[in-house]
Amino acid sequence: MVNLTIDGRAIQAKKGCTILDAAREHGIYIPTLCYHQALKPIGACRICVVEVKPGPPRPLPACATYVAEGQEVVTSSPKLDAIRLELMKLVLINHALDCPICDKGGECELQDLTHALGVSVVDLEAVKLPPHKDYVSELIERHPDRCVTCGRCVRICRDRVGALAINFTLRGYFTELASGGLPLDCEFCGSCIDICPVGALINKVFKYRARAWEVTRTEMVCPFCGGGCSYELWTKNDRPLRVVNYDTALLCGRGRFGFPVVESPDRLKTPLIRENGGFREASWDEALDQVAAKFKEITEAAGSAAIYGVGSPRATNEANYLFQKFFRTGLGTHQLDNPGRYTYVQALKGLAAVFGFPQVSGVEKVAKPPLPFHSPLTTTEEAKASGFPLVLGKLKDLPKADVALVVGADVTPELPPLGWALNTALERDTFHLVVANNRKTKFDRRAHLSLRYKPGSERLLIAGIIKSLLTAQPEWAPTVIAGGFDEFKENINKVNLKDVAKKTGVPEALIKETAARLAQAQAPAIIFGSELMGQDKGLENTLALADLFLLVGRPGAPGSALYPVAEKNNTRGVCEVGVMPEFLPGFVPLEGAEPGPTLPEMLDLLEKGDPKAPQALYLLGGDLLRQLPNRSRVEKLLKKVPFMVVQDAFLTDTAKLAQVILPVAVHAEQEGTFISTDGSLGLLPRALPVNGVRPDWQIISQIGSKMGFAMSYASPKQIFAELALGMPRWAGMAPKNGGAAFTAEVTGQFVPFETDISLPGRRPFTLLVGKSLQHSGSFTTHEPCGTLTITNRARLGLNPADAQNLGLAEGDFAKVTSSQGEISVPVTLTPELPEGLVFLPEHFSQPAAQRLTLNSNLVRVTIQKG
Amino acid sequence: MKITSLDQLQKIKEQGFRRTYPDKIKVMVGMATCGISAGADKVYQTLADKMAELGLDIVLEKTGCIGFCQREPLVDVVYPGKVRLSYQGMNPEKTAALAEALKEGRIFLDNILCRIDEEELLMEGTVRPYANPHPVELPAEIPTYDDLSFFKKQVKISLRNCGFINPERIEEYIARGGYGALYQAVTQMTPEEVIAQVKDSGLRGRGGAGFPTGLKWEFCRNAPGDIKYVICNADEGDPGAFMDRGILEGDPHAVLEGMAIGAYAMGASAGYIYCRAEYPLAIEHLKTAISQAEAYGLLGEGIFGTDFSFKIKIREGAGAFVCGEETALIASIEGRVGEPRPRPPFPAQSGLWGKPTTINNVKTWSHIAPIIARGAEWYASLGSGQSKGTTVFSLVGKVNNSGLVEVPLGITLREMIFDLGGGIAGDRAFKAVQTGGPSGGCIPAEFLDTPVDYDSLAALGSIMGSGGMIVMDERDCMVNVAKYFLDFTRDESCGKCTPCREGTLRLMEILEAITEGRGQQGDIEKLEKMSELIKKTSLCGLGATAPNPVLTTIKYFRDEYEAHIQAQKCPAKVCKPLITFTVIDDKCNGCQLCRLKCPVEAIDGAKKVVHKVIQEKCIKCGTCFDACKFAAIGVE
Repeated sequence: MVNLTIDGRAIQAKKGCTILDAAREHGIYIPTLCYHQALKPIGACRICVVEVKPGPPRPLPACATYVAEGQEVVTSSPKLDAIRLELMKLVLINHALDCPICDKGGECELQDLTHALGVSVVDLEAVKLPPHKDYVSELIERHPDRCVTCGRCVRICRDRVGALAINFTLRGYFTELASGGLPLDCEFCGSCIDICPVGALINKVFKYRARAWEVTRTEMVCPFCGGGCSYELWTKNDRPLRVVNYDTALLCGRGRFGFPVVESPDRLKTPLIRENGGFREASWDEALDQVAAKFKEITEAAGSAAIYGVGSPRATNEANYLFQKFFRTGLGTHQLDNPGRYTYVQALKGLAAVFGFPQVSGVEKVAKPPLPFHSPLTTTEEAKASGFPLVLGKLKDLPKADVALVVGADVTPELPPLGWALNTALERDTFHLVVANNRKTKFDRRAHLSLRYKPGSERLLIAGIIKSLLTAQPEWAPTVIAGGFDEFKENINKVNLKDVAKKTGVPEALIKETAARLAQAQAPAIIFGSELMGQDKGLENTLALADLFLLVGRPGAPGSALYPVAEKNNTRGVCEVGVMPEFLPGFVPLEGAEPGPTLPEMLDLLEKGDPKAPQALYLLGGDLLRQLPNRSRVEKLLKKVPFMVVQDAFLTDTAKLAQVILPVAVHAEQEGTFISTDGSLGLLPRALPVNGVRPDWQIISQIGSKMGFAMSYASPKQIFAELALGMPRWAGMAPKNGGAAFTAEVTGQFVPFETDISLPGRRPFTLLVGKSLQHSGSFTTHEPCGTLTITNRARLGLNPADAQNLGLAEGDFAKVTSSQGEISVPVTLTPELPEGLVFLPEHFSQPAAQRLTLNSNLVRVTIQKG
Repeated sequence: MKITSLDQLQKIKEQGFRRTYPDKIKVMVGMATCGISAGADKVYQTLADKMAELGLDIVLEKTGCIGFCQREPLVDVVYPGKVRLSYQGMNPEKTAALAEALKEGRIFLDNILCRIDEEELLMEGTVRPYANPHPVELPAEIPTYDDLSFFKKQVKISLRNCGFINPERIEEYIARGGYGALYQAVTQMTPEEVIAQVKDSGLRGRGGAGFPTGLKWEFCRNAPGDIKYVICNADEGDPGAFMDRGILEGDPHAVLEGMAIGAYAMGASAGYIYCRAEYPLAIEHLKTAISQAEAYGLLGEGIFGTDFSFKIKIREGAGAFVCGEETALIASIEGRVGEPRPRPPFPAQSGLWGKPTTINNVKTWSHIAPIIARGAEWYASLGSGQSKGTTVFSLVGKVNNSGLVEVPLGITLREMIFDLGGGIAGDRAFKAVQTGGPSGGCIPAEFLDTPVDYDSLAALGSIMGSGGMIVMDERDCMVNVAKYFLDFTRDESCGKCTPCREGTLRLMEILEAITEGRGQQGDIEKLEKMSELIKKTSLCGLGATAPNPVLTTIKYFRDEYEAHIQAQKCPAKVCKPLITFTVIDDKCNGCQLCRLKCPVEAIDGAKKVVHKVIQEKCIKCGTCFDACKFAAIGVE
């Protein structure tokens, strides 16, 4: 700690912090303009100047001057006030002062500063600059005449988002914010809007819809990916108008512009009951009665195992928890699963095999009744935990890693906050980034090593890295205590590095260098995405990475962990609360009872016409036809189910097959919690009216009650309290928090993995079905989501050379054929894709990418013009 | 061949010596940018053609700038065993005549600037005389090099080889003691000893701020980290300054050797020279020099067979003045926008790519090898007080002898201007001298006896700067001068910090108003207030010094400002809106010359009738004033 005085007050501050940090921490106000807590200070506006002794005779910027022992700082004096006043005049001299029509009016930092510093006159004249306003760009509007040249937007775009889409042009007095003289062609995350202290960057979706002081602000977790960001939802007259994050300013495009999904005209408004080949609107009572009656009828006739449930990574923990309770306690079966089975659950299973299931001890109930959505459990001094959840990394720790290996993840589209964490890590020059992917992704540009492998060859590549490491250092001992190493080594010995290089397409030298980097690392992180988990061999892929982590990982070092991407808002939560046949809440393996079939097994039963095949399906949202591979097969099988209930906000293709459709609340129409990819709790408070639809938890509770189950709850708070009581690992959990820290005991068992990487079929192209930057699941594909103005439909990404050979130009329609089906889709030339690899986003209903797939997100296809 | 021993270096030195001082007649043409712009390339070509045509058996060489830019193109001829003569103002005709004379075995007697009796071999502290100081053929009145006031008080350290060697021949540099200091440093001295020498020498940064060089090196050496960098700041951007260009064009190895010694002392293995792209010849010579030094193993891996390795890369800057500021320069090398950032951290802690970095100016680097070769004591014996050694100025403006001069610090402004500069051109009155370029201030006649050193100039509100020295006479309007410099800094402001971005333009606008007759009471105070704000609060040195020209001109020439504002007069008769041209009736004889030359027909009159200026039409271009042969046009 450093001792100093600020305005005569003796203060202790952390070494290395700035005078501004120290002053703010002690409630001393220093005006700022170019400073933002989420960015590194640049000391440009000079408004925060203070007098520092000992120091130079001129005042110093508080934001960029570091505290020192014995320093005497004066933050306010007639001299400083005069300086700030004059500086403000200079800032204001060319400001548009169109506050009455400026969106920032009422929450503008410049307005506030002008007021606080008492600038009443600007007694200077200046040549007016030409106002090159940008009304053309999508979603973001630019008013250079309001710009105060603080550079906050430029810095967030460059340093945090990593898009480098905007910069200053010209210089001196004529410095102007610009995007290369062209309309914006960026990630459209809009972080520049929230970081702007004035109205130089405007959210077009919000423009002219309300004044800042008229809105109600509700802080909520963002429901558009598993990142667990929180934002402020602005509402007025019960309508959602805008989403902001004034804390770090960072949100992605879907987060910021996806909320209008709430007001989509496509939304279902009342329950629908199938009748005469169509649907008719029904009252809630009628629909719920019919569902309960039909369920009862089926269980009475065929047993309670005849109903199968599919939970949802979109729905809250509370809804999913009730959903599994409906089956486990109500029906007494384990006939349920969630669609993460095809991606994230494969990874969890692999990690569990290597690191074991969670074991927790030393947890007790808190003395006082906990706050809503706070765990009623707390850790004692002896609290210990083990098992795979302990090797799952936290995004805030990732920047502390010294090497990150990214495999099978196009980071930003998969999980934007993961990209921000990597950008933060990259600010340290001791951090090394290794990106391995089958195509060029955003982070390849910043990677120290870039490995381009052939589609589907991830696990062979990892085997090559392990082999290379063990060849270079035969005495290498795993950094994590683990059994089965000798046997594992024997297996790895069979791997031939030359062969790996040939089959994966990654040069041997790069494999060796990656291995060397990982071996030297003191805190390596391994990041992998749904591209790798979504293959039929996703489990094997994860085993390879988990084994690699046993070899080089250092779970004790902050940041050194595995980071599987949980893609949707509650992909991890739906698993944690037990919506899987083989796990009870808290990943407790089911013992003493037979788990029901997994989702793919259930489909197999239907296909076989097995007597164990379900008679009724209860789907908690999620358009299975759009999400699951081999759409034609899934469609055929779902049609075989006599009774299907779907809870969804939209009439999806899957919902169209149902007998009863129950419309649900989305976004801030409901209360509840999500678990983010890194295990922290996100809180969704209710901020919008439901307009006739109902939240998932309420519907489940009502169906359950009608069936005579004890499932009556007053609110999600009550459900959370019950749920969290049974989750010892959630001890200490609270909103925006991942719970208490346990003394970790990470050990593992090497599990050999398969290295056969053949992809069936002989068609010339490999299709990858993956994520698009502007979309998350299917919600963002509904009008009037802002995201649609950027990416309005599915396009087939194709290497330009391939396109030329096929005679295809940008926008031409291509016929894509696989062994499973055929679709027609416009192409977009994508130089980032290697020749032979094509890409389709998974989000859109038409054309349906999954019509082509078989059992994986990779499939061989033929492409023709037309 | 890689030089790994003193013997090998000695051998190259002997080779170089034979090259530099051949037995034949040697003709050297000053081919730096200043020479070329005066026509030296044509002179050189003429000589080359004549050699072929006449079958002349002489050695023709290019050399750098000897400093006397006013008299370019300069050609030096060494008549072996007789004399070395310097010829000034050469043109192709005179050159042809020179060639003819050489063919006939005569000493060419036209256009002689001076004879050079001996040359100093600075690195060795010896003098190499040319035989027979005054051959009989030569008229007695031909002055020697040291007789010329321009050269008399100069002490050349940075410029030790400029004009004496071919800068594209490393052997000639070695012949005059080059790379001996590097050998001495890396084979016989510890890095600490090198730093101690530099510290003891009292050398201060010649980029302008005057930070003690040895101390800067010590900070960098002591900064933790394996990778360190040295940088040569060759982003010379002051209007009227060309010292760095002269050194880089005329003696690039002097900089390379200094950098290598510095790198050894600080533990750096890579260096960058950041040179503005507007200096193509300097860059070309640097590139040649680097590749020659690498070929001899004087740069690269294992220098002199030790484990010291050092490589130098050149980065071309796009000519932004602010990139001369350390942190902006680093940003520019890294490929980012050349904008300064707040310090600390200083580059010595976290510089290029976050590594400890030392940035020194071209002149500073060029002083290092002599300090090592001759010792700190020798260097410290030059100069005065806290300002040791010599520095290079580009002496320009209204002086008779403009050019590149190197003087010991402590010389007075009067000596600089009236001895070296030969006084004010046209015998007009001296008014002020601007030191430090746009960051410096204007010093009036009353302070002419001020010694030129860091502290004395700072006390007057100016700065030493990197070496620009612009002399002004009675016909310069000081308000206009301030405006000129402000226009430069305003244009070069990067725009990052508020006071510099906005404030410099405000100053500029007020100055414009004053020079256009729109000045108001209180404008001077406004200028002072704004200047203080900019000085106090700007992020980097550019802004912090930008108001100096305004403040010093107000301080020393306030009456001129007041005359502009109150009397609406420009005393120097420069600011057009404030002057009127009239015909002086009793001097005009009606010759019509002015009437015919006036571009806007603003002069009324007829043959032998006294003319009259029509003020409404007059654009104050001054054509009539210049045209009149009878001084019949008056300016008020």
